[in-house]
Amino acid sequence: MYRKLNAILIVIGLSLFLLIAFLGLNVRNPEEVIQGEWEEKDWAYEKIENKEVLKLGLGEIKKHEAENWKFRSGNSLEFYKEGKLIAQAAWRIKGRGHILQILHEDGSRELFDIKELNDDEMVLHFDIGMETRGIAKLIFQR
Amino acid sequence: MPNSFSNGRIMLRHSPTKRSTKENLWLAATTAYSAGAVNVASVIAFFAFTSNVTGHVAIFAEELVKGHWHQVFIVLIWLLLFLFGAFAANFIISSVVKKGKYFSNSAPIFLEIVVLAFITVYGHFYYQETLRETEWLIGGLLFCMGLQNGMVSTISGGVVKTTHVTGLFTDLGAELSQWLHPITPRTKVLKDRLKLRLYILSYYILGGLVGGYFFLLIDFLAFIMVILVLIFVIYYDMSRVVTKLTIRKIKKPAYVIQEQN
Repeated sequence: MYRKLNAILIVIGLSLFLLIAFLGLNVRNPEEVIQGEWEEKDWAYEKIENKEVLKLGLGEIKKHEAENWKFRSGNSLEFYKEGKLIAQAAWRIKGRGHILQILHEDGSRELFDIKELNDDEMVLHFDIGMETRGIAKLIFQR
Repeated sequence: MPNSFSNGRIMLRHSPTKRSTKENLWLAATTAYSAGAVNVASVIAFFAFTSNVTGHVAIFAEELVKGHWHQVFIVLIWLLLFLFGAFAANFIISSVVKKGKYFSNSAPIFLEIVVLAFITVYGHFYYQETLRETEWLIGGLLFCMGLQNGMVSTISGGVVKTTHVTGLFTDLGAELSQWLHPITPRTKVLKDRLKLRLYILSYYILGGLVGGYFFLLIDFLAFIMVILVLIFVIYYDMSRVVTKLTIRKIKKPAYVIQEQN
C-alpha cells in the first residue's frame, strides 16, 4: 500500500519536474514578446448595452485611437499617430504577465489587462474598475 | 488588546493536544495579521494575491485552456512554492522536535522572517520592476505564507489556519448557524471556535488595512511591520521561558547555585 503511494508520488514529482523544465526552456517572457511596434486595429466594446456606463469609465482615461505603439527595450513606450510621435511613457508588465502598466510623463497611470499577447496580436482590456472591466478592448497587430 | 491577551499565554511551546483556546487565539491573531498585511501589500505591489492559492488554481486552469504557457509556468511555480512552504514547515518541525517544542515550532517562523527580510531589502533597494523580479518576489511571499500556514496548522493540530478566509467563512457560517439555532446547545467548544474565527477574521482585515496603508506610504519597508510581529511571536515565548528559569534560579538557595557553578 505504502509502496504504491510512494510510486504515485514519485511519478507525480517527476512529471511536474519535467513539465516545469520543459516550460522553463520553451516559454517566452511577455516582456520580450511585447517589444516592437504595434498598430492599433480596433476598439471593441463588449458586455455592454447601456452606453452611458462607458461615459463613467472612459471619462477618466486616455483615449488611444488609431495609434501605433512602439515598446522599446528600456521600458520606454512611444505613441505615434499618422507617423508623428505624439507622446512618450514608461511601461511595465506586472502580476503573472497579465497586467500592462503605462506611466505617462504627466504622472498619470494606465492599467490594462493583457488578454492576448503573441507575435501577431495583442489584446488589451481597460482596467477601470470591477463593474466595467472588460467592456472596452484595444486590439493591436504587428 | 483583548483581555485574553493580557493573561499571558504562550504561543509556540505546546503540542496540539495541550494547547488552550487562549494560546490558539494568540497564535491566530498574530499570524492572521501577518497574512492580511502581506496579501494586501502584494496586491498593491504586484497585482497578485499571495496569502492563498485558491484563485491561482483557477487561474492555472484558465491559462492552460487558453494556451498561455508563460502564465501556466509561473502559476505552477507559485502553487508549488506555497506547497513547498507548507511542506518545509512540517519537515522542519518534525526534524528539530528533539531540541524542544519551542525551538522546533519557532524555526519555520525564523525562516519566514529571513525570507521576508530579504524581500523587504531587495524590494526597497534593488527592485527594478522587471517581470522576472516580480514573479520571484511573489513566489517568495507565497512560500512564506505556505510556511506560516503549515506551521500554524501543524502546531495547532489543524485548528488554526490563518492565510485564507474561504474555509474560515465556511466554518464561521456553520458555527454561527449552530450558535443561533434554537435546538443546538451552546457549548463552550462552540463558543471558543466562534471566538477563534472572529479573531482570525478581525486580525486578517486589520493586517490588510495596516499593510495596505503603509505599503502606499513606505513601499516594501511596510513588510518590516510583519517581521516585527513575527519576531514578537518568537520573542514572547522565549522571554517567558527565560523568566521562568530566572525565577526558578532566584528561588533556589545560594548554596545550590554555588554547587551547580
